[in-house]
Amino acid sequence: MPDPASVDHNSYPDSYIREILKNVRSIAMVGASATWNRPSNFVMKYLLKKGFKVIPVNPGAAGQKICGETVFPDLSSLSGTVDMVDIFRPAEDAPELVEEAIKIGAKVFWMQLGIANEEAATEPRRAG
Amino acid sequence: MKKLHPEYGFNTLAVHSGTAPDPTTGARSFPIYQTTAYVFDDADHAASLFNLQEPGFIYSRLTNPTVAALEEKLATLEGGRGGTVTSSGHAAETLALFPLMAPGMEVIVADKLYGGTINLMGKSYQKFGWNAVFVDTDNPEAFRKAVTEKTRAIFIENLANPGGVVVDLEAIAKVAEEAGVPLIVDNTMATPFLCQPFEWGADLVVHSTTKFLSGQGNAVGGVVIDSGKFPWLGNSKFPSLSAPSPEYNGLTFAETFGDLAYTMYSHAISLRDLGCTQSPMNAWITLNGIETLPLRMERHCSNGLAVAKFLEKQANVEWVSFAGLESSPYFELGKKYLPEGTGSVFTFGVKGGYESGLKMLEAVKLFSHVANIGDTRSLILHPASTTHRQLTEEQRIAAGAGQEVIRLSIGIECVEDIISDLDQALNCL
Ligand SMILES: Cc1ncc(COP(=O)(O)O)c(C=O)c1O
Repeated sequence: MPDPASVDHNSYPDSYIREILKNVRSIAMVGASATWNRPSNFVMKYLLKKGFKVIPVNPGAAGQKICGETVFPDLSSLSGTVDMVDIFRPAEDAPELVEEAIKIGAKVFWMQLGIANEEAATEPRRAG
Repeated sequence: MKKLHPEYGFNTLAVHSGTAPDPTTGARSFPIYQTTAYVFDDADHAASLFNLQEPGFIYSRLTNPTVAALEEKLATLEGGRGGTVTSSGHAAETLALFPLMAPGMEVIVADKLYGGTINLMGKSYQKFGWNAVFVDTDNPEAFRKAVTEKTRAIFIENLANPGGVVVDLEAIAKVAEEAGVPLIVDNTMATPFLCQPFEWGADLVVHSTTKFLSGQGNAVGGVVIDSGKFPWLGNSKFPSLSAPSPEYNGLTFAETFGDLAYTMYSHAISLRDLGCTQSPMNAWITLNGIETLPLRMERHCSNGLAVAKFLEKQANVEWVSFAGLESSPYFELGKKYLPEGTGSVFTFGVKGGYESGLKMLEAVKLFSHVANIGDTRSLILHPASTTHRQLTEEQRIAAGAGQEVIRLSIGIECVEDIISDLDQALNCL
């Protein structure tokens, strides 16, 4: 797998994505929405269909269910770890979420299309 | 030519892409799914499909397995991200503009185009409130000067019909980029075998697949292919893609589908609502045709060049407009953009004007007098009285279709037979 620091974060080759997803089973989705026409809802539905375990995280909807899965208020209240954290939040929130993700032991931090934050992108690379 | 695939070259992809063996029956040639509707597993599956949350087939106005295979093959051969196959080349032009335009908006259009496209854009689009602004094809500066706040696209034809005009793709792509609008290239006459406009900065490609792609004059069709490169996200010029869609319950295509946004919109909204879908039978014919595209284009190009060289030497031929001839003003551009050959559709002028032209049409034996191009058979036509008839004389001359002009589409027959037929016809004048 190429060094994450050296890849172009605007356009990943298929092989890089395949390598990442090979080791991912569980995904915490921050900013998951119950509204069908939001991108997070599309992604969650798709990932569940492909056999991933997806845990929705959204303080506004904590305790409710999205696509049949119970919503958690934040990453730190998850019981146990996840392989990947996928965020559907404004770019400004990314640095804080990265720290939380590292704390719970996630190996991959995925920022959705159109959300970019260079600082937040460098931090997890440093943490490995 | 850009590498389209890590492993395979163009000719291999022309045969194999999009058409893997059928998993259910093992059928090796791709089946015709002459089918309208597809069974849902349950209500939730149906809802997911209608919400576009799961790929799959619903109803053949939007998607059909045979048509989808053709979309994949064409998108692969152009080096694009996604394709939308349509009922005709004209439908493809309208579909290409549909996500971009709105009443009062403008499309800058080259003045050297297939006559039908000049009519469609110049006249019929006025009924939608879409304004076509025609500019000199040969002058990239003219495109730049025509850009306004209302410009939403630039439309040009590669190796423009009828005179085989080579357009400076790279220069015009630069104008489009600076204007922040997509460049749409009609690549019908070149086909992706001779030129891939995405390599030169085009954003969208359209084809009339009726011509060289299907190749044997037996299936009308078209396609729009998206490069996936244009930045729609957050772009207020293109609300159909960048803002919540009232025509799809508030879905924002660019946000949800990224580089597939344009292709998803074209199926979920443009085909759904305009309904200019291609039949599975035509898609199947076109899939088969494309498998031999590279072989046919090689022969079309070598025959075309030989015929043009022959005509240039004849006493009763006034001029020949073929970019492969050194005498052509487009020779240098042709070498740059179409190094494998400049196609087989071109025009020439006979001495004696209109009367001699008509005599020539009556004297040919092997050539068929038809309003089509890109057939295995050699074809002949007088554009001023047919394809370009509804234009003004001024538009006809600008488009290279004046009264003395004859258009040829050279087929893949024995080149000596083609030449001897033209020779005897010229001797009848
Ligand atoms: C360059 C070009 N574009 C578009 C078209 C229109 O295609 P169709 O006849 O498939 O609608 C034609 C048809 O002659 C053409 O030559």
